[in-house]
Amino acid sequence: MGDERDDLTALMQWMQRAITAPDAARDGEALRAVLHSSPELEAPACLGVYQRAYHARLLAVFSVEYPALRQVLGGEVFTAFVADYLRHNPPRGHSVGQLAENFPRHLADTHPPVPASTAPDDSGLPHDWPHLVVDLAFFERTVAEVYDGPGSEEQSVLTASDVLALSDAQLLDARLTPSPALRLMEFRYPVHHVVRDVRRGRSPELPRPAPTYIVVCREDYRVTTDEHTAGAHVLLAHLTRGHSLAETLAGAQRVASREHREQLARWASTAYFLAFAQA
Amino acid sequence: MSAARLGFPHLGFGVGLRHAHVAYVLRHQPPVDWFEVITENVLESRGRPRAALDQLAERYPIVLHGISLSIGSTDSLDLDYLNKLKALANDVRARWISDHLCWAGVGGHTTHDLLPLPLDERTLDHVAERVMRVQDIFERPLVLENPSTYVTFTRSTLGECEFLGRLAERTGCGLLLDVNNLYVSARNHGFDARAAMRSLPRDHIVQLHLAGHTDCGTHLVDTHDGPVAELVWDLYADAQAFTGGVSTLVEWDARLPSFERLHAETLRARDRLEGGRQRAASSGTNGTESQGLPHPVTTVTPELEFRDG
Repeated sequence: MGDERDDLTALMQWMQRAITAPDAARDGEALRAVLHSSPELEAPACLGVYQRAYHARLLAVFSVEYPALRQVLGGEVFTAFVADYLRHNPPRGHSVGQLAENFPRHLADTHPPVPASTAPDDSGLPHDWPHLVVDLAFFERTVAEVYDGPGSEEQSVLTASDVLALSDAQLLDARLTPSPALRLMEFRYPVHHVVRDVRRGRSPELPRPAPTYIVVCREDYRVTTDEHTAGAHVLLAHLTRGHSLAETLAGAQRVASREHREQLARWASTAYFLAFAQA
Repeated sequence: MSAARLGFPHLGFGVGLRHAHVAYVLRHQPPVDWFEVITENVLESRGRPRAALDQLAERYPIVLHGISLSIGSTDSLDLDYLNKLKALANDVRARWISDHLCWAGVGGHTTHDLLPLPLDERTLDHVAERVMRVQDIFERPLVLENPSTYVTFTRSTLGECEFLGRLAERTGCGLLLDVNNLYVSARNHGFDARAAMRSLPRDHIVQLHLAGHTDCGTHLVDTHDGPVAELVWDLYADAQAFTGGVSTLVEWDARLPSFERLHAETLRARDRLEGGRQRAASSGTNGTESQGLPHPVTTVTPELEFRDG
């Protein structure tokens, strides 16, 4: 049985290489020794069905997960980026949902240096287009992860009333348990506008660079995005790390303002928090 | 309806559920006999896909249809995958669990494809051993489908249906006869589809699949991007006569039409048996461009709300 399995393994390894890296299977004679021709097609052409399907199928998965990135880059460049990623990260795992999980990190690690010049290049993309590309990729990947990852739908969540019912002292000392779906993201570009336009079928206007703070979360199984100010982002970051409002405000103002209360109530109303954490 | 086979009930005429139709089905609860769900779209989900499946399972019989079992690979069986699949099947009271006679990858990699096996005695021993192990884990028979194939191996000594039949008799597994796949493979490799079908052990066939394919001139591709072809309907009628009547399901993946159109295609399968009128076979797709890609391509598009406009 061992030798038989080795034999089968060798055949599978050969075929897998031939499908995923067609240049490795150019020896037509060797190929015809393994595969029959069909009544209408020579053996290499039969194998070609699988070769074309492999790349097209994986590209289709990336195109569904990164529609805005694909539109900004154009199909040809997007395809080249995906192919490079797949060369370094051949598919593993049973779900296509895992296929592109490291694509943003790959783009971040491999993009060309950002030129010092601030003039747009011939493509019309901004001079620091790699930053736009990387930001877009991280945003779209996060949307996919939050959509199919853990959320708060099967649990009770904090409501605005819960926050508004606290005394000032209780509000200052309260610690919050964030929703498992909550993601705080900081970008160099307002990439969520690009994604919004693409998903609504519009041609996206390439944004100007601007520090952008986005919260991605999930409510009733729909992914939600909110843009925040830098100050709100810092406050929310502290709270999600388990700090109380008093600890967050230390050194600034030790009094919870009406704005803070309303801010927290607003966040509670959008399923950012599950509960007040136990001290 | 005929009696249960291998303990599996005759479910009637079902629809392969795709994510784009889930909201419609939950809202309208159409009179579909049963749904088949792509295992990989829900197995790891902790979001809408899984929540929707739980809701649907309250109302409809569910069958889990996988594309990643890779029963023919020489890599170790993925026990984590199998245990999760068993738990999911128990959770949604899946009537059975199916996958394909194929391999998806080797050496820890996957192609996300349904790759054909060299069909000989050695491969039969190898696959049979793995089927038995999977069935021990599932504590129920596995159901295996014939994939569409585009190559055959010089070392093969058995036809696909002969291989599947012997595998079923040796392991007690069930068979999902994909009538379109049989037609596609028969055309591509020049064998007699009806004769091949008749070599299958009919008592092991628990389900039929129907789908559309694309004629590329020199070969057919199993694209699931249109209505069932007329010659496939003819083969389907023979398959129902051969089996004595089994659960039947229509798959449609690319250029996905409205749910009503897909359901109408399913009802054509019922009409064929009842000798009733043929429903209109207009394409009725949503106009999405077909890429002519062989099945499987299974993706889920997240629902996204921008609250700042």
